[in-house]
Amino acid sequence: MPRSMARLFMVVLGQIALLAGAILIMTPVLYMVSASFMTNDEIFSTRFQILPSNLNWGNYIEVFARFNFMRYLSNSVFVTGAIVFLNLLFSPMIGYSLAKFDYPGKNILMLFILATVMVPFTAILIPLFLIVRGLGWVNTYQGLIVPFAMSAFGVFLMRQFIISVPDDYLDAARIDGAGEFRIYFQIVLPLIQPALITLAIIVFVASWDEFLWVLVATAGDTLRTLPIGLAKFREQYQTRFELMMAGSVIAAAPMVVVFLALQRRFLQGMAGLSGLK
Amino acid sequence: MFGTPQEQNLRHQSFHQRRRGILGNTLEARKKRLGLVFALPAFLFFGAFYLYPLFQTFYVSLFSWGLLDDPKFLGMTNYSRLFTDKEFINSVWVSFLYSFGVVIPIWFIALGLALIFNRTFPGRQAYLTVYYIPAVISLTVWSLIWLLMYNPTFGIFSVAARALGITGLRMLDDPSTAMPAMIILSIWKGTPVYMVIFIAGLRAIPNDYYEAAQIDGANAAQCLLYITLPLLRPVFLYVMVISIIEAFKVFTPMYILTNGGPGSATRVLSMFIFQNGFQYLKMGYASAASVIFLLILLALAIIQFRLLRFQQND
Amino acid sequence: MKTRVSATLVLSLILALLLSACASPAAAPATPTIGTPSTPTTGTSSAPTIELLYMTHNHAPSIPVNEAIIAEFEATHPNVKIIFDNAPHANFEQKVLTAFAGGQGPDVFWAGDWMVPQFLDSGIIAPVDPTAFGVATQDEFEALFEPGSLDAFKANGKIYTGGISEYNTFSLIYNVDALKEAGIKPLPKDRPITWEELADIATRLTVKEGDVIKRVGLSWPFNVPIWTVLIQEPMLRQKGGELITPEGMPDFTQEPMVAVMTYLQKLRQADAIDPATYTDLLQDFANGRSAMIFGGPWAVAPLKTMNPNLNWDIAPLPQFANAKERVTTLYAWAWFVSAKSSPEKQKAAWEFVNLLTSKQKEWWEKVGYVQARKTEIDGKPLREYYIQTDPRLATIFADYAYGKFEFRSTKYFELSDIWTRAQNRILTGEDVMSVLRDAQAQAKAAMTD
Repeated sequence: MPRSMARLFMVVLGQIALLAGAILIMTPVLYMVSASFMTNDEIFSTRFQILPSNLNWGNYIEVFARFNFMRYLSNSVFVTGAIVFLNLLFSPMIGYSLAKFDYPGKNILMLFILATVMVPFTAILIPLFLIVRGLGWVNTYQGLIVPFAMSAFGVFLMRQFIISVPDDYLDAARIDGAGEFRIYFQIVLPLIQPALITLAIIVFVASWDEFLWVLVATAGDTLRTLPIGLAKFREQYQTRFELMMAGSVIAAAPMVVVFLALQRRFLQGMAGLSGLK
Repeated sequence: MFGTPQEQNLRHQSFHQRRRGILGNTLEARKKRLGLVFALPAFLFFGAFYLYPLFQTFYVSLFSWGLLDDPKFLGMTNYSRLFTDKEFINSVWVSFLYSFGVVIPIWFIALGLALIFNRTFPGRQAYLTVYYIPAVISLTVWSLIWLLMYNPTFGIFSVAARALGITGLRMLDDPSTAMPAMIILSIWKGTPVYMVIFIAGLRAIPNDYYEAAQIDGANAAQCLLYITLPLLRPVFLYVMVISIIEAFKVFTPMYILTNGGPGSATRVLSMFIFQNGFQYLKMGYASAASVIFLLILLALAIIQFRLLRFQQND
Repeated sequence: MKTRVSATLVLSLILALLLSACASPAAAPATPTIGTPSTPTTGTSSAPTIELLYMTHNHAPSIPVNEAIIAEFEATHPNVKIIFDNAPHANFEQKVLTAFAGGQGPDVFWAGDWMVPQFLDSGIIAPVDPTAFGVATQDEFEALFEPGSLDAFKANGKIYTGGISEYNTFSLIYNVDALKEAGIKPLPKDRPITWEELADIATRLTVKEGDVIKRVGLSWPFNVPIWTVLIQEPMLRQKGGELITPEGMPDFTQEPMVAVMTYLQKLRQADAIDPATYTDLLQDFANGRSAMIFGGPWAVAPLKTMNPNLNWDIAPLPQFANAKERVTTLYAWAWFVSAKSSPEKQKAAWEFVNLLTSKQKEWWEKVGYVQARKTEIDGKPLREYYIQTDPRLATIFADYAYGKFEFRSTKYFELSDIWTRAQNRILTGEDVMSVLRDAQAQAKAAMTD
């Protein structure tokens, strides 16, 4: 029948478009992966080269052996893991209060939280450093984690998602006599599960990439994270592109793994809310 | 200005009732206290870590401070100097150009992709991961890759352009193509995160609405216009506000690829601030520029909040 | 219900603190917290422990050398503990500045000579203590080094460094095979060619396919402000100009500057240079994407590693045909001691720098850094020892004699940025005079505090 033929055609067209888009999107990424297996002169050769002549693992070996990447990797995992955990703990709470409650100072708090990310980091770097130093947290894990335990991005995201939670559900639960924290944990949080996963993803990416703060707040390699490691390849008189590409693949891999793990639950989302509980 | 209609209702209540504030035993008062309890971590945290830095930014902007020496009080001189500084005005303009050049396409592309990924189709999860990957690569590395790709002789883009018959592209060295080059780089990397946010927003819309609409005989376009988009408004506000803030703050690609050039064609405001603060050691001047940066973003955010509430009618 | 609220909150806070304060996954050795006052410890030595914070940028080969010297110093000075911190080269200044601004500045650190005016102005660097180097007076200290090498570090009759870690000039490094292809004889080593001759050679060395440049004649980093200064300043001075006038103000519109900028614009118009093709200085040259570059002694070892088959040679830095005097450039990284440190720390720091500057052999062989402290290695004076590694270096060393350090100004960074922006605007074809006038206006504004 012509109708299902048309639909099949649309599906195929859609698949082709998606594939084309994927290839386009991935071109720089594929170039990066390809370059990570090349030697320096292959990357800079005068013959335009996309694929390496052979799979040269030497870059990866050198990155781990000479540049301390195991240490950076484990630090990154720990620090980012802690930051994501703290954000998941506190941001929904604050977002909930901003979305569903009214209290003195609420609007100011909202503006203030947004203002913390509306200033370039250049401006707050030194005062923040002074605070952390005053707490004795320079060159400690707390110093790397706690200043990022909550972020405007997370709080604001939670607020926007929680706004969409129908008040009727909450009020009904209240009438039923449920405690406020029970409402928070058993109604609000489950309803915004896709948002929580999104929050985890956003915070993960942002903290994984944090460079300047880690550089300033640490001394020596012990606590440093992957971005510092990657910066090492930009040496005084040259940039070790081939090592940087390898290091970058190593740095990107955990995030891809995390995304893959969270993806299924994320896409499941809400099957449907049928009426009130 | 902010808040749901529910909160607006609260404000319209009688003055007498509102005066009770957070004291007393009324339902409203208890709710206000509860709101404060849930917000307590925010007050503590942001107050502890960010109140002083924000205050310092404003304070230092009134001084001349070389980071290593004693500050000298200047009053509003930094601000008056900024407004006659051609580089500063250029930076503001370049920042607007770059930021809106990046975010507006992102809004459309991210939403479009999210709508596509909202449906099930074969290979959906694999594709989603692929489309997501540019987000997880560090911006410094991303910039260096694109430095290679933008080389007019050996870079992928030039080779492809010549294959299509376009010649003479100078890429990063041409004032008219340098900014578009930055914009394309940033759209590439920035879109996936917002796509993910939109998908979350779409997933949060209960199927009931669509089922009811289909029973009423609505087609796909009508579903999109009258159900999806209105319900997506809070998420859209988030994407709009945050994407603009993020775009304004970015300067790594400009730093690595062109150092603000050619001339000052890609010298965005965040880069101007960074250079003045940490290279020229004019922290007071940089702080004043940071205050203006903040005010610009605040103004933009307020406009967006107003814009997206104006149409809300449920 | 209220107790549940507080209970949950308290539990979460405890959990968060526990998580962040607990041991790391990779066993981290106890790092001494920096900034705590050095408390006297009773141990095998009766002297109180002095803790020195030593900061360098992280040029990869330099790190093991620094670490070895630290170990040696700690062994001979049991009461001194040195904490070694390094930051990526591109962010080194930020790290040092933030550390100082936060009250935790390093006691010993690397910095470039161009930063001296800023440091002096802020009072963070200390004048040298000659006794730590085994001599009594400052003059005797200066005599330990190559004549003229410490000029950039002198002010108010005092010398503010303990020694140069990396002493550089630029010469012309060129691809011999490329010259041969173009039918040009190898460049003379006993006299510099003129900039006019260079323009002609570079134009002929550029290889194009259609309008695509496959190999550019001459290349340097066009977007890096310090390179602009290092390349243009000798040219300026050869014409008798100087960026900062005797009155202390920059002058971008002076005749020599116009001449230099016009020359560069002509280079660009002839396709002898092309900023668009620049990616990485040494890589481009090693792989034949550029035929000539400017480089110092630091270029020799990496080039040999990158492309052992490359047939390159070195010629003296070009001079203008009617140059008032022969001028090349000089720049250096050096060791500084913080004036904010306690007297005991400063004394120990100077002794440490003494050891650091005594390792000329290691700095050359492992890192490729030319040092300025005189010594003999294997019976040869330093310069001869260096040239042993590669005879081509002799040309670079000859250029040192005509070298002058970059202009001294507390506004070095801002002025070099202005200079670079002007250079690049002129290279895109804008009118030289109007760009320079713009630059002059910006420079004047920069000089007001």
